[in-house]
Amino acid sequence: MTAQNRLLSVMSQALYDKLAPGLKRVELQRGACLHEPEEVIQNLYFPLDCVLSITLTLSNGTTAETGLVGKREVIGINALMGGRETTQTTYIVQIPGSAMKIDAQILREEFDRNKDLRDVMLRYTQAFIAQTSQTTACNSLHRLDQRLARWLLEVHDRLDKDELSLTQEFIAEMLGVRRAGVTQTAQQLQSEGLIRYQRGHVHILNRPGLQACACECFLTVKDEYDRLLGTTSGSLP
Amino acid sequence: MAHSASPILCSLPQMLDQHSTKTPCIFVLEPDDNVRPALRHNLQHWGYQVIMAIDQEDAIQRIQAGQKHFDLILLNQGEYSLDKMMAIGQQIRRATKLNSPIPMLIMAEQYGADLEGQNVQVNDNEYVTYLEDGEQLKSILQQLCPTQERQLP
Repeated sequence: MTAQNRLLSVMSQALYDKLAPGLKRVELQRGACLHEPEEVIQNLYFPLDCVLSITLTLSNGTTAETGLVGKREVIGINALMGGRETTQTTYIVQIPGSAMKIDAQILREEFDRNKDLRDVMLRYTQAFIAQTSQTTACNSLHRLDQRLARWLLEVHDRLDKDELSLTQEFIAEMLGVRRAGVTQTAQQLQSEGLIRYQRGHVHILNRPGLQACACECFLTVKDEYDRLLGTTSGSLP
Repeated sequence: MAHSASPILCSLPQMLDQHSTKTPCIFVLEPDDNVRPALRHNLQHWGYQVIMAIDQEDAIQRIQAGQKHFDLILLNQGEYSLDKMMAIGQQIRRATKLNSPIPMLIMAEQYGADLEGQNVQVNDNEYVTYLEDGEQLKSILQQLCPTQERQLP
């Protein structure tokens, strides 16, 4: 059993054993593009210790993140929603690391005939919709310092380390704000002793403090993931 | 400090002479609602008084309305070219009708990794900073507009 990915972990042993032959461990490099808009999704990735972003680029070239995918998720679920389904989004590797890759067709065939897999993936889809819905509201209604704190917590939650390698330009793109907004807000969080930000490196110094600074959205989404997917290995059928 | 060696900053003694024991004041032009609160917080945290304008018109109105003296003009490039921002800064400076040229610092918006971390002097008392983090701004402001009383010999 691959324990590092939460979705694979909550599956029953029997279900995991069915998928195991199709799962291949791959290393993903920073900035690698796993899916371009309008391409047919060929593979799904269950991150182990990498973080992936789902981004959307508008016609004027501006880009914003619409979803964050790490060790508690899988990227590419649209592949299960129709044979040659595509999306308008891009999947990129934000923080490099390992993932379990599976051919979309293999997973789709198992999804069609296996109720247990459908249950896991549909629960996850519901959780993911909760994430994107909450992000939409958060981006419209919350202050930048709350949003940056929340986003750092989301990334931190998907990694097992306090040192995050993230440029201000990249964070700005992910939050859909100007670079200056990230520079000044990161400095504000630093002055409050919550993070240390220097030259593209964010060090989380005070996670409880960061959580107190973040908006409600971080805990709301986390609770929804826990409710839908459980927190222990093999907890879903 | 990582940024103290940035290759700019001549005329520092001249500028230091302009400062006394009072808290220095920075006139800021920052059009972005997302950026203003954090920028104000940081400048105040570093010991500056802050006058904040949201655009060129607001800036000129504040000065013409008899806004108090300030020691440095800080402009965020936003969507304009650096030349345009320089011209806006010069207009603000002229509006003050002070004899000595107030230092002007523009925070660049669009730049690559090659410029990141640099501070560039473009004219007398006119600078552009390509920030790689907030500490860089703190460092260059401390050089252009010190918050501590100068130690007299």
